[in-house]
Amino acid sequence: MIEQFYIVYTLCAAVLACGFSVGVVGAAVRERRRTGRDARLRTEYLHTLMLALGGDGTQVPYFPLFGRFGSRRLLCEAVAGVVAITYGLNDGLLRRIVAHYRLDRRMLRQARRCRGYRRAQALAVLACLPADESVAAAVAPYLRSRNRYVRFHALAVQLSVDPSHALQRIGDYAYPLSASEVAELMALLRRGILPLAYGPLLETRSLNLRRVGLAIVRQFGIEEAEGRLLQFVADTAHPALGREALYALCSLRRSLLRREVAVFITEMDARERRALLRCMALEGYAPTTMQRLFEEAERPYYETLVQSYKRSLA
Amino acid sequence: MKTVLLLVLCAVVAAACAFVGAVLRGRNKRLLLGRMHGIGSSLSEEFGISVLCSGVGTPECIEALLKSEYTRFEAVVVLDAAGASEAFARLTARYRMIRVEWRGSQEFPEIVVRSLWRSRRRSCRRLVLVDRPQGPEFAPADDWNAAAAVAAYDYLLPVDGRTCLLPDAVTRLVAELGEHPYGTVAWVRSYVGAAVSLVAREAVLAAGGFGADWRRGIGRRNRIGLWEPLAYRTDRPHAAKRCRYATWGLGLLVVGGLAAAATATASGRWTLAAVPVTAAVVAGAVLRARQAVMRVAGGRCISIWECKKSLLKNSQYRGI
Repeated sequence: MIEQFYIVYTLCAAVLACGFSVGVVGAAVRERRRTGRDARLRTEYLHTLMLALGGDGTQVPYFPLFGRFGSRRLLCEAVAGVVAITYGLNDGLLRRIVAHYRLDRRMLRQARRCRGYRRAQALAVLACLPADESVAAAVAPYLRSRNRYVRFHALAVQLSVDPSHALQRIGDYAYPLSASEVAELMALLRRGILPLAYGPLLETRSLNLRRVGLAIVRQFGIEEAEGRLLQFVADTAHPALGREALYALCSLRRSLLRREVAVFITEMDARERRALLRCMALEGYAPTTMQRLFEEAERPYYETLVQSYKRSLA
Repeated sequence: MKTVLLLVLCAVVAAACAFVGAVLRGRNKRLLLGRMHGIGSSLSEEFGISVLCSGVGTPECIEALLKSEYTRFEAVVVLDAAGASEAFARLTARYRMIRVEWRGSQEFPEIVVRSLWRSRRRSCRRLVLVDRPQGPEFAPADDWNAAAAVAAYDYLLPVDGRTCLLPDAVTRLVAELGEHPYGTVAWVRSYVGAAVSLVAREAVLAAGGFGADWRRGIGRRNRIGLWEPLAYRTDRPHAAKRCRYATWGLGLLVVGGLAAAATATASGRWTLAAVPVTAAVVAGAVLRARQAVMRVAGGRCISIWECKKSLLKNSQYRGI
């Protein structure tokens, strides 16, 4: 009996070893192609794209070697790269290129075939392609994926396809957004997909939208939002949001000598208070402000921070 | 006996497969994060990281640190102006450093710092130079404590003179921190490549500094392990050659293991064949993992065992 187990084991292990070897050889070939042919073709495609965008923009350009293995992916990445780094670009020509060469279908197919982070990569490229409404419906199942990156990039695809319903989609997103996801949404905002109106975002009940609103306030230094930020700080139901609002007030360098802030600080633990003191010192708050907000026992700590702080002296 | 051997071999193969799976997942995640430009740019300001450098005096390494696009980030370099006067003068001249005032830290009261310097160049504002006497019994942990005393941010990343961070290491760490609620992560370490740990400042303070075994106080839920490289060693002049030899050696082990197993099975000795075929699986797994790690590291030769070796060989790196 045990001999039979050994036979099965040896055969399986041999198949596994051969699989690893094939994987190694395949990866080496891909790597060589990536640094050789792919690099040249990517440059060529980018050059062609830039020339077409610089021209009258009526004709869909011809891309050399299109149809060869991997060329469709390279063109997708080139178009996505251009969209990701340009703001206010008229995407009419890019939309025609995507439709003519069926690039969105290609990325959807890849997202369907792959799993995990590779699926998220395909969706990330798709989120940068100017695609049509059907793509938003096709990625909808990925919004319930176990992988948070797949979920988020599926949301990003829907936002880029239909910017008019962006806030509704973020509000309906069932999972809390992480700091890096909010940062990505801010990048979408810079591309002109999300509206800049922070007011409705802060007023909403959705925590995700509030976080995006806070990020807008912080990023664009909107001092008029101070009152709403203080309300967040006073709201005991969401201490994490209150903490973010407090740091946003800090980065705006608004006065922290408010009752809401004082109450919030007394409820913080020692670790968080020290972190806040460091942030305040970094933003240039005076020791008198800290003295009125913090206890006497913490005085040597913040005095050391302020008096030795590098920022004020450089 | 045969049953035990079979179980052991199965466990080895399962571990090899799990290892390759973890490294490949790490590579895919790294490539994905490379596309997410929002994380590293000024848009994400949730977490601050201070890199504490002991024995880092070469401009190449310092400039590699300053290349990071993340805004809430600083590099605190500790040097001895008396002992390494030339390197100190070179650095202060190159980065136009000026001496700034500094008062003793409340967190590390026993630390002796002679002076603190900052750069006047706008592009190097994130560079802080600490002048500290390094006696004959010099240990990097003391330098890291001195750097931690002047560090501004909540997370500390200690590196020594033989370690260089990969260009996207800080962004990768920020992305990892961002996936968890604020304050829940106290320690992020990489199992692959040079030994690097990102530590919460409070965890280090609670342990009394880097000299002690600060890991004990950190709960398992507050630890994160990454299966991707964050740094590489700079003290290996023949790394590329070694890497090539290792690749050929592992390749030969795969082929040899399979050939030996084929020979043994031809004579019907399946028990004997199981051992070389397991060796071939392990060698193949290591080879595949190396390839993935090198892709992440931009083609640099990174040994996947460096982390463990530095821990075992050198007691001064205890705790990292």
